[in-house]
Amino acid sequence: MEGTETLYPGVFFFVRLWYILSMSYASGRLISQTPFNSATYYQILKILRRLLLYFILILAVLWAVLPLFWVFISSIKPDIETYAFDQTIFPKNPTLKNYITLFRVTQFGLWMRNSAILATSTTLLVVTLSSMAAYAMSRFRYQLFELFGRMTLLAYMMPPIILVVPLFFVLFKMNLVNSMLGLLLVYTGSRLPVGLWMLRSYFQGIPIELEEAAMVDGATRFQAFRKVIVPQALPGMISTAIFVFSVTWQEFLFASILIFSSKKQTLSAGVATFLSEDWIYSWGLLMAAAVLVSLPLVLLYAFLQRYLIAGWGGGSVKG
Amino acid sequence: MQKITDMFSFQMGDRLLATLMIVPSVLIVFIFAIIPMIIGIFASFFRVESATLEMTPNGIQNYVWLLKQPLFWDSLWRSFLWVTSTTVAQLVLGIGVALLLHQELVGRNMARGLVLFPYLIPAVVIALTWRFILDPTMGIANRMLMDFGLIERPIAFLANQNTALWFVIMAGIWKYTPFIVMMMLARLQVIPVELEEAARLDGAGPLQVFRYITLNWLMPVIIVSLLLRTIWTFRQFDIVYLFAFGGPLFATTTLPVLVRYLAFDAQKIGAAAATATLMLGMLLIMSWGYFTLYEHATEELD
Repeated sequence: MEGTETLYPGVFFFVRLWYILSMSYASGRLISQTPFNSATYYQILKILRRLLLYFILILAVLWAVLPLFWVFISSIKPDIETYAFDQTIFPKNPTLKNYITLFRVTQFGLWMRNSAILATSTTLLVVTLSSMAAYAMSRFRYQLFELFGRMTLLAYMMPPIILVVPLFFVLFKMNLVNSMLGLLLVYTGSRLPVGLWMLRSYFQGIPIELEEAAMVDGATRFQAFRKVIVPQALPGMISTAIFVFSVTWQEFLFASILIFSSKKQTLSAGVATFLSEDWIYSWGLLMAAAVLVSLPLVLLYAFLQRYLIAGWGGGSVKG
Repeated sequence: MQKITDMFSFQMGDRLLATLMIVPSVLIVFIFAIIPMIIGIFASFFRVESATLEMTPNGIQNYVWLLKQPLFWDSLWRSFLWVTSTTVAQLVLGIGVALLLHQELVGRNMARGLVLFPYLIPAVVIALTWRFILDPTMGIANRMLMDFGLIERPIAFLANQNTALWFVIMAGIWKYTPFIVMMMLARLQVIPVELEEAARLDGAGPLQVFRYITLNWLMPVIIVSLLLRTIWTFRQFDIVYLFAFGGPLFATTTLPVLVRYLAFDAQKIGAAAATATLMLGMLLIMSWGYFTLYEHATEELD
């Protein structure tokens, strides 16, 4: 061992380095029984390891954020700069012209309103209906309820593309094709299963003694549900609401097929028409649209982050 | 006596209340999810006129026709490529980044927030973003490659049949790796310290600790995320479609995009329904496989 080490000192340095890095990497800290005694050598390795970690960290953050940063920057650049041969990282003359044109020239504002109405009403409907159903399913174990639970799981897994043509058929029979009400019902039907599964596990975690105590005090079962259980389940309901809102806000497939008049269109499907082959808009305009479509979700996340992580971590990953 | 009837009515009331609470959800899920699914499976055994939606039974003809189409097999292969490469890359990168963000580093919380960003971005914006970056005439990717002298003239990345799908895969990895990071971080944060300590006292090296303790501890979550990601990626329509509308020359047509193409462009609704039904079958097989794996992994952990 000693002999070979003198032969290939460089190689062994890297082997040692790798050994220490991986060792400290896996344990989270450096362990005292390393094959080295020299404190300075040890210190250098420690610093190198941290530098490497920070380097990877910066790389990961840049990879995640840089494309979006570029979209934002391009949205506030005037056309001359967006299409210029030499690109600058920051705009020389930042402008909001793209945003103004977006609202003046296209139907973006209308689509935004439609998406806001649809996402909000779907969220309210799903959270109300699924918390009632999830409560019933968590407290009364009838076989039919169990069967319904299984079926919703199947519905949850179902690819939306399977449903598009039949849904067109169903909505056609109900005279709800090309209507926002029809789309609202479709969204509610496809989000309810998720809501049910997220909230059911949440309700199961709330001790039944709480509502029994309320009922001993003279409350009816429904009052007990409304006044005692719902406040307890609020974090779960909020995380469900955020989830439903964000998937509905960005939904593309159903909207693009079940709605065909431009005035009733939603954001995703509307903006997608910009991308079709005969598009005439500038990239700056499209980037402004991209920023505005994402912004509500980013803000929602920034303000309600802790509920979101509680919901994702607690509801979906058990065990 | 009074007491017994009271209890009885109380029970009936409960049953009625429970039913009332669940009925609206049942109705909506049935009308807008379960029944359409049944219609969809049903329609795969019919010839459907696309103008009138009139249906005439034709047995398994749709399936026979479909299985003879090279386009179907090509789309199946592309779906396979899309699902396996995005899921595996997400998992590897996601676990790596989660382990990194689990270390005590300055700015860790901010990095945790920033790294999750792509997950929040809607599919249509992802398509816009990458189409803009990869644009042949003025995209930043081409400009940078030219500035560094790596290429001489711009490349139309998304117009090339051989590379288009790989850029969609890249965007899929970009968007969904944060999901894995989130799942893994949540699990890493509750890892019992004693486990690692004990293994180390027993003389396990760092790699062994990682292999037998950390990875083992993550395994149930790895399997759950693998299940969720496989199903979602397999059925994912919007990112793939919006990237290049299935083109160039079907190069980004995965199975869901094929269903849309068959139903609305080729006017073969029966064949579209057959494709969708086959997809549902594949999904059921996949999830059954994963559930078996999951039970296996959690048993081993106990």
